[in-house]
Amino acid sequence: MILDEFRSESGFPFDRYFEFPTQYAAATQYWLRVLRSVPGFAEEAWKPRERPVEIKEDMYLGKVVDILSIGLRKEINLQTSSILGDANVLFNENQGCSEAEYQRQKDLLGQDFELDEGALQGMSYQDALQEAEYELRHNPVKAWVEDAVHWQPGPSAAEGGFEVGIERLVLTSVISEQAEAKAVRALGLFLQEGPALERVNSVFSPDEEQ
Amino acid sequence: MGPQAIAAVPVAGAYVGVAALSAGIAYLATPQGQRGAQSIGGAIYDGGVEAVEDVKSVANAAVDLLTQRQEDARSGSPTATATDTATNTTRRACDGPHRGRLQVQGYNRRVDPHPLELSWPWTRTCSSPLRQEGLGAVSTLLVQTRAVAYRSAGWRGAAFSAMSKHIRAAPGTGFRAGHRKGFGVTPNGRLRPALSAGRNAPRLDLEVHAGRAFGDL
Repeated sequence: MILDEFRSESGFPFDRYFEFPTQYAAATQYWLRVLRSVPGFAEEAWKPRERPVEIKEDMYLGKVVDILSIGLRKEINLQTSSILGDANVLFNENQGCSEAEYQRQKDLLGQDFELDEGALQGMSYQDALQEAEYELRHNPVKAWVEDAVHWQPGPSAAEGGFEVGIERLVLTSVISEQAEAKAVRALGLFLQEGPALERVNSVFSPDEEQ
Repeated sequence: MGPQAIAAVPVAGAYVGVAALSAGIAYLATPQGQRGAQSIGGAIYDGGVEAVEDVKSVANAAVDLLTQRQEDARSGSPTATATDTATNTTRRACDGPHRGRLQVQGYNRRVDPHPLELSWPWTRTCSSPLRQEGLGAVSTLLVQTRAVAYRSAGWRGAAFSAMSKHIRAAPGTGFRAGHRKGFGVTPNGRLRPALSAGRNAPRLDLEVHAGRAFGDL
């Protein structure tokens, strides 16, 4: 497994990627190695998606790969994850809402706009940790494909460019033996020739009750 | 593992944060590093912000117009479309095209009668949509969501709230091309980034495809 090449690295399995740049970098290298190991991944066909590089945000989200292949009409968004990283996200996204902020929201969205009690109170870090533990124990790898649009600049085009329909793989995974095998499978399915939405979603994200 | 070792990563390292690995992640964690990476990687469009002249008066005029537009949108006026030009283009330098969308999507069987897909796209030749217009769009999408399913809008309340805060926090020059932000709501009502909320999670997403969006200029 690719994992074995990284076991001796400091901080392995890099579960504090959101705090320490060195762990984020190591996790990035790990996932790049995983990606390169997937049959069907032709490096020359891919390029980084053009975007503002916001390293703090990338570390927070665990975003380690964000690449695009216009030729294949495909995009890969790969996030590393960990219980601590997921708890950090849950805790930060679910902060309580102050009275003043709530009023600002109502001023914008209408006086009948309401947040439920949970959103108003927020969640404790302990609750976030528990939810993250439960979630990642049951769901260490999340993967799905969605239809998306890429804007391709083209100075000769009447509108300065044109839209290209693409398929976007969203893959979020912890670093573990079990997860690596699943992630490789998801990437492999996505990289097979032709449309991948049904192929990947039928295995990794079947329609389910929310 | 330190920056020296990181810098030795071969070419494929460029896939992540473009110049991030070669420049050293520790350096990138600093504001100077981020600016450096952006220019090295070519991951940001310039947007021609410096070309905007007479900023203050134009911005004021735009806000006046947009305030009127928001009122039109709330009253359902047909003039409040997402793709027409909302700003005083005769006095703002053209730095388009500006394209993108705000989108409500996803599904929660308990509250949605069927999967939702509501979109507020913009396509502007010259002038980017400003902050006030973006906030108005969030409000408009909430109204539209309510029209489809009132409970669904309530279930997504935290996502609407988070998106409005995100737009309020946009830099003065706006979000640049390639910027994405999404908020999803999990089955137990927690807010998550759309990237980790799940394929069918009720979501509110922002994607800036070209140019800029939701700044003050």
